[in-house]
Amino acid sequence: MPNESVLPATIDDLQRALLQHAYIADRGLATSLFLALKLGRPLLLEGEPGVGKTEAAKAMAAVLGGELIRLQCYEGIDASQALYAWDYPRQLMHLRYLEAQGEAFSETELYASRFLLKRPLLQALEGEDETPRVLLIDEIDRSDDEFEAFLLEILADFQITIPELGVVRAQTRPLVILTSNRTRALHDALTRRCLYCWIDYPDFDAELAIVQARAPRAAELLARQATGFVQALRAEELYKRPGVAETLDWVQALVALDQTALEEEWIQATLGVLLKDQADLAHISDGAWQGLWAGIRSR
Amino acid sequence: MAVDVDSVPDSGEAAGALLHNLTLFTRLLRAAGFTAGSDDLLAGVDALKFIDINNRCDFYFALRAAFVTRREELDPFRLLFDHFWRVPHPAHPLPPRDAQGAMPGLDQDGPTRQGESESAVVGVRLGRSDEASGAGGGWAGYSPAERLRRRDFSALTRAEREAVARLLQRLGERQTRLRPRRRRRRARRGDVDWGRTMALSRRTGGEVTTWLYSRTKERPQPLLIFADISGSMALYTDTLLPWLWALARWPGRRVEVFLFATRISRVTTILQTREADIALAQVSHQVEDWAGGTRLGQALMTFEREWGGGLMSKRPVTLIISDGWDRGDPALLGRAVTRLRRSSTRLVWLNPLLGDPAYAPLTRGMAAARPFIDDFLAAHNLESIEALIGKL
Repeated sequence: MPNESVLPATIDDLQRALLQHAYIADRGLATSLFLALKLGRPLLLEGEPGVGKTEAAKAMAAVLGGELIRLQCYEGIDASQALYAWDYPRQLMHLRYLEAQGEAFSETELYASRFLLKRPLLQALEGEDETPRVLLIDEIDRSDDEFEAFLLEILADFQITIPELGVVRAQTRPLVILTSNRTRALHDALTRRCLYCWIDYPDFDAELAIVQARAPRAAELLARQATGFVQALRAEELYKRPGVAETLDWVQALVALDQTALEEEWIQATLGVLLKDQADLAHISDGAWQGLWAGIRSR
Repeated sequence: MAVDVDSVPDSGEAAGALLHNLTLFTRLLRAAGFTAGSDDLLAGVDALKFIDINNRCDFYFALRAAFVTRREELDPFRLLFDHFWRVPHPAHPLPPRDAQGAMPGLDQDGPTRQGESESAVVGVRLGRSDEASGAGGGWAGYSPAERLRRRDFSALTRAEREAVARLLQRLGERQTRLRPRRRRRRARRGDVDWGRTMALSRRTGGEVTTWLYSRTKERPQPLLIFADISGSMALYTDTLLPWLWALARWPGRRVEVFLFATRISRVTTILQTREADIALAQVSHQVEDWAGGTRLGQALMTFEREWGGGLMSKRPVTLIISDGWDRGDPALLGRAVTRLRRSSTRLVWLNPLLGDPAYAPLTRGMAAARPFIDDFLAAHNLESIEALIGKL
């Protein structure tokens, strides 16, 4: 559907387009995404786990009709895993083959692009066509400082030099979205290159809208009660608060169990979908949830 | 300096005025401690080209996206925006942070809290100057340096305090001397090291006869430090800050430092400033409640939720510096310490009161935490800190 790749002209347009792809962005997030697109700057998304940071990137790719290229960061990730690496085994095989054929070879042949393993960052720079791509650099806080510095270099001019091949420059800048769970502070130099947006837990209405968009099979009453329950749960003293992702899982679990409204026995049985920490689970299933449930039911 | 956004029409002169105001606004942000620079100003200007600046909501969000770089800046930004642009900020579409972030007992008094107690450290430093100089006089027979090593931190004169600060800083630098790590190293097993394998194969005429391997060297476990700055501990922790500064700059090791009383704040970044004086002065700016009471259980819970994920999975060596006078719920403290112990390699508790031979850890907080502590050590004088080598 090539028509879909038309860039949204206003923030409202973008918000509506995201909605069509079942992503509900509040005004602040929509403004940030819109500006990231217009200014060609990377956008740093932070927020509690499960509030839809990664989903935002996926939804943007869907809106732009372009490819989503995802780089998942982890501790110890380096340029050869993020940018490119030479396919040594293949080069070796190629040499052997030429040798067996009794053919001569030149070194440049060995460094042809077919021996290049393109990792996400290079893929994002290389695209030929004009369709805007989305580069998602997920959980940047998990990588280490060295990698952050390296990333900074790439994000500064969107070009890299491969000594054997030459310079690769992005024809169209991809929309770059970085996400962080704040397990460590990012370097100032990186954050200053980026636009910033903090995604908070949505309020009741926003979360209900998300549930209805993402779990259309859920009955109205179930969606309302479940959303209200999770909202109340977040106010409890918990180590790990349930995110929107957990709300959706829960609603879907209850739909799978043919529920059309919350019921006590099923709350108890499915609390594990919402609370992934043993201490939290013990605290809530020891009776705290009944108070929450009473609050929901009386509405 | 106040400006009304609505009164900015679309003429060139007005655009100039807007730019001027944005420059002023950037300056205001910088004065308030934002990292806002000319890049951000340009980003702000660029951003405004794409939005309808008469829409206050969009105007606000656009500037926020351009100037804010971390969550802690959101509230101050909103205040400064309101103050400068003299318009009520757009109704925030999300619930205020307190609605989901506050915990009972933790009074959240809004964004003005930074800098409230700016000079508390200095106050402490000057306040306890000379009245205690007579204490600890029974050290005849030791050299002055030796005497200083054994002197309780709470009994130092002002001059001694400065000397001790320097010594602690050097001590920390000595304790953190560690070989810088290499990212990958040769190994018997691991990933094939193609570069070296190919280089070696030249000797045998391009025939690969030996495979060489490499793997990423493991880093030392992170060091996680919680220092108590409540009333009963302020003096000790204040004295120890130069030492913490040196630890925070441990080469090749991840060190995180948190200060807590009723609340908890992360001071790692500030402590990692190169100049110790500047770092320490900034810490006192940053910290919200010097010399309040202690709620360690809640502080640890907040820590785990806000920063814990990535840190705790790496099995840090955890160091708590506190006297264990805790005003919070002992059951909560017990739970929090159990969790901390479970995900740490080792839990070290430094208690200045242990310097007193008559001390027994009977306070409720200490009693709740004691079973989970691997090393329960004194931290009341230089000697006790020196003895920590190898424990961290």
